[in-house]
Amino acid sequence: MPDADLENEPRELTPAVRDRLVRLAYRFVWNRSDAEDAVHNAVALAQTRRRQLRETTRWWSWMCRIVVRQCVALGRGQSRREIRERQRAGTDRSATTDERRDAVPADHAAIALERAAVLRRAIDELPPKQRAAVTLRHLEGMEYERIAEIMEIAPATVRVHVRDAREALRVRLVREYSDWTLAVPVRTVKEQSP
Amino acid sequence: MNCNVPRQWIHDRIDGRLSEDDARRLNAHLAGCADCRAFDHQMSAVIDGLDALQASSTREYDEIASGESFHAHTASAVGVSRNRVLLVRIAAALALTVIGGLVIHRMLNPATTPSDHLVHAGDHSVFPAPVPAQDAHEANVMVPFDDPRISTIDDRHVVEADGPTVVLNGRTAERFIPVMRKTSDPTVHVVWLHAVENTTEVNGETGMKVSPAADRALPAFAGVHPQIPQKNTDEARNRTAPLSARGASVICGSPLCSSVQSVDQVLQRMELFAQDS
Repeated sequence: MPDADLENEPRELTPAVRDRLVRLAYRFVWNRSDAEDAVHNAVALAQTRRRQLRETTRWWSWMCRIVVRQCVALGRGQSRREIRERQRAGTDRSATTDERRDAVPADHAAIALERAAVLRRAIDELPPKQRAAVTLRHLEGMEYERIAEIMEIAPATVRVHVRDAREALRVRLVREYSDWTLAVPVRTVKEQSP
Repeated sequence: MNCNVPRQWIHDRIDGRLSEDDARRLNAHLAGCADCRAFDHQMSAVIDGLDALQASSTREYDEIASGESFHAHTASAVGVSRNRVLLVRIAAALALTVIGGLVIHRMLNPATTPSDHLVHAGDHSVFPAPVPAQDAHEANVMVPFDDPRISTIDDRHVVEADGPTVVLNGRTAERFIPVMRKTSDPTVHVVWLHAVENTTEVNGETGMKVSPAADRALPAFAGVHPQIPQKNTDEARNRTAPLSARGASVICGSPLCSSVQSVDQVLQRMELFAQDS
């Protein structure tokens, strides 16, 4: 459903619209249950804060903003908990490059999956604004103007957040994979994947 | 030339807003600067990785949403043959058939009453009794919220059952919509019940108007555990209880839990619970 259909508040929250919101939340929390929690909370919150929906704000942006905030709030507690649990289990992500090189994945699909998992963790650990900006831009494919509306900041500021996030991800990935650019390019993997 | 400007151009190129003049200048700079070439290469890898993550997360979400087997997704992702996935699905279908037979048999020949599962501890009723995880398949009974397979509950609510219409904290719900959800354990499903005031048709699709107040009160029928601290006011309860605690209601090893029959069982248990407390 194009965003144009959602600029004004719909009469009812249809399953299709709700699914879009859950899908958005899923990109932040990576868990269907948590995503549904976040959307449910956001919908309840939206009902109580309808007065904040000014005429100048598009409904979809306003709704996305509430969902993203719920997700970031939810993610904050979870990230801290997950880091503590990983540290307790002694499995914190700090494998050396040598260890990674030894554990060469069996095929290209496995490499792509592992990289996606590393990126997912790296995004989760970004500062909230960078995380929101890069997720909405690169995982949701939104325009900068829309993201600016959702985050209530200027488009130029969104660009700065996205740029800083990409830089942080680049540094993180280079640190984790010194052979990052030498391994099989992801694009090749995507072409070979069914 | 300072490398900051070409690196900004690289970001602009990613966003598709680099002018032709700047693109020429960027290429000229890259030809003579090994650091910026490496930066460009690494940034391309990051963007490719983000594209891969977007594609994989979309696939993952679609599979979860369509009820695809988590195991099937994982297996196919790491290259396990489709035949094996098919075998797993057939085995799962057979297992579900057997479980369904057991459940129907139990319903037709009730050896126990739901109240057999009630456990009393001090002044609190533990509802229902904890069951070992391995028995969840066969027993088709509910387990308490402190089961490690579902989110920890940190709240409780007062529930009152009143005939076919269930009264929850003074609010009435027309009926419940069961929504089956997966947990981290692929063999375990949680049935989420929404309290629905009414349903309407919008743009050719059926939408349901959920009663937030009644919805928030729903989890109580799944159990009150003595270890769960009770908040002082309704407002505090509604504000602080996580939704996973508010909505998760039934946990068992069979998708049959989402059937109307199972919901009826839940409602029956609610009545028992209300009488008990």
